[in-house]
Amino acid sequence: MPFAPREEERGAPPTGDFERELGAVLRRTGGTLGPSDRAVLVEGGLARGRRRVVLRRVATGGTVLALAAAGLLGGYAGGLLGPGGGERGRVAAENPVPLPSQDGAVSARRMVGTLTALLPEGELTRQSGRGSGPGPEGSGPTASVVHDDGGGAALIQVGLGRTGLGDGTAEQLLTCPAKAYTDVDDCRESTLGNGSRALVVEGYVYGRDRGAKQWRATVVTPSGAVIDVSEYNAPEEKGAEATREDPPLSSEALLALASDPSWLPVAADYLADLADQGPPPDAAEEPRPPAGPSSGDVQATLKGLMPKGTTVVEEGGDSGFGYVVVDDGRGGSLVQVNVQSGMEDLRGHLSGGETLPDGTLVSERQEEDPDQKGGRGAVGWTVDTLRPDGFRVVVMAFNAPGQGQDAVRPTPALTMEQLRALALDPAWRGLG
Amino acid sequence: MRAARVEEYREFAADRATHLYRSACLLTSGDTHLAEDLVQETLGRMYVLWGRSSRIDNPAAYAQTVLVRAFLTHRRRRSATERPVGELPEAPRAPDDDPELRLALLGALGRLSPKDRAVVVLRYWEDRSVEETAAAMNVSSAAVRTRTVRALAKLREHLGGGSLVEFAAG
Repeated sequence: MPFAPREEERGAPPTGDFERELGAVLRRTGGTLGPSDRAVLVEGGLARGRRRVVLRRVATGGTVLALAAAGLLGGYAGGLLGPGGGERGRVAAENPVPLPSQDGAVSARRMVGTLTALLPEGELTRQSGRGSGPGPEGSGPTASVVHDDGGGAALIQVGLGRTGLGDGTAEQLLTCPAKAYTDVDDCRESTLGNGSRALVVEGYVYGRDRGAKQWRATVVTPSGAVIDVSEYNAPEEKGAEATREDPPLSSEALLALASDPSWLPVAADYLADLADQGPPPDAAEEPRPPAGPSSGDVQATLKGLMPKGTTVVEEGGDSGFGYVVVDDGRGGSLVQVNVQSGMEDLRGHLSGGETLPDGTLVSERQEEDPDQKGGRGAVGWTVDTLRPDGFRVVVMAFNAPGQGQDAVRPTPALTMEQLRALALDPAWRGLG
Repeated sequence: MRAARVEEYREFAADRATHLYRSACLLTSGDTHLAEDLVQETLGRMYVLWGRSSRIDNPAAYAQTVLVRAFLTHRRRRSATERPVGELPEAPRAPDDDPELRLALLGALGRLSPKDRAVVVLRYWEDRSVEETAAAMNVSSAAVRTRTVRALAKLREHLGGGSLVEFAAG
């Protein structure tokens, strides 16, 4: 933050003392303010950021590796095509005026009309939408409405998108999220009669113990159109109290809504509109996957290094990242690893720990609720290692089978010694 | 985004979240829900920038600018429904917490126009120069000077016209 000296106001009344005091009072007051839960801000920001990236990729048919990360690493909170209302939370929910310039072949009015026609009887408020014209983020048309069937006001949102052809987008949109990172009550993948494929997830915006439930149906048609509908048990995605036990539509009714034939002409017009628009100008700036260790290598190496007597019950990974859930007969334990190059700038971060003869820095810690996701009784044990050339392997083990989940055992399945040996194993070097 | 960058982003976000939240509380004169939303929006936009190849020079300062812009955009949309001052952030009591001073300050900030409030927060909370404040708000330096003078006069009036130190002590 810059700390440039302030110049005196020219021609201003003599306010010098007051200015100085104001700075002091602002700092004193500001310093007493603190978020009730910092993790909500961090995770919420991360989820919104990921959705922004995914929105662009889905809309442009680009690669969607970030989607895998979104599912794996817990940024699954919102609908992936989170309509404007969801993406901006309550800020946009109170901005019901669709701008005419944003309306392309599919107007905001048509989106809202198609959605509301498919809803059961009830009171409708806060209707808003966005058309298919080029938006600042290249995102697709959306509609959002608060529906009350008499049992409590509930936000229902829909967004349209498209998948790239044969690039794996559809598979990633239609695969249940990893259990170790995303807590859901139910998740079902299915193929519909007309060749469309669908995913229905009964999950949560933040987590089981806090925030609204989010039930979501995603349908991908044979032509690659995506219809993504989310419903909540609250009138806002975030920040509003739950008004009812569950969202208003059963998961079957939600899937029926998302797969209703009346979306097909809307989606067809949207896809035609996209083809006319071409890719947005900043598509080239999208992050590209690095040429780091592949997810398969990291995952396989991690699995191979698990101690005897443990069984791997779940596994997954992303570039430079892998995880397993192991069970030694006393309950599931999540073990995750990051393998990274070029991390020299973390040297200071690890300098308080031990230095091995070869110059490798090793830092060990044991924390309660290490990811601040609120699992009851959860602890995380971490061994962080940094080689002199910036090659870093950090392993973390939990006494729970997933992030944010309650402890199922007193300690992780691996001891600190085992974690240390795991992080320092020469096998990782071969991946760097 | 590669795992290392995501982790780096997480560290950045965790590191800045509290300060951004405090700035947002001052900007919104104590609307904690809106403050949380603005911080998430800011961190979301920072995530997108984080994924790009070119690094941001001073991400902490840039995030503050993003926050102020998000706040001003939001205020433009909602200016017709300007909410009165009321809610107070429920913060854990800090040792030198002074609820009366906090109430008075947030109340006085709440009586300023959103742009005047942004000027006060950037200049006296963020310690930015007139030029830096002008650049963050996309206005001229002259406009920032004018707003500063006006905002200080109003704050002084609403806080009793006397010395803030006396006020805080009283």
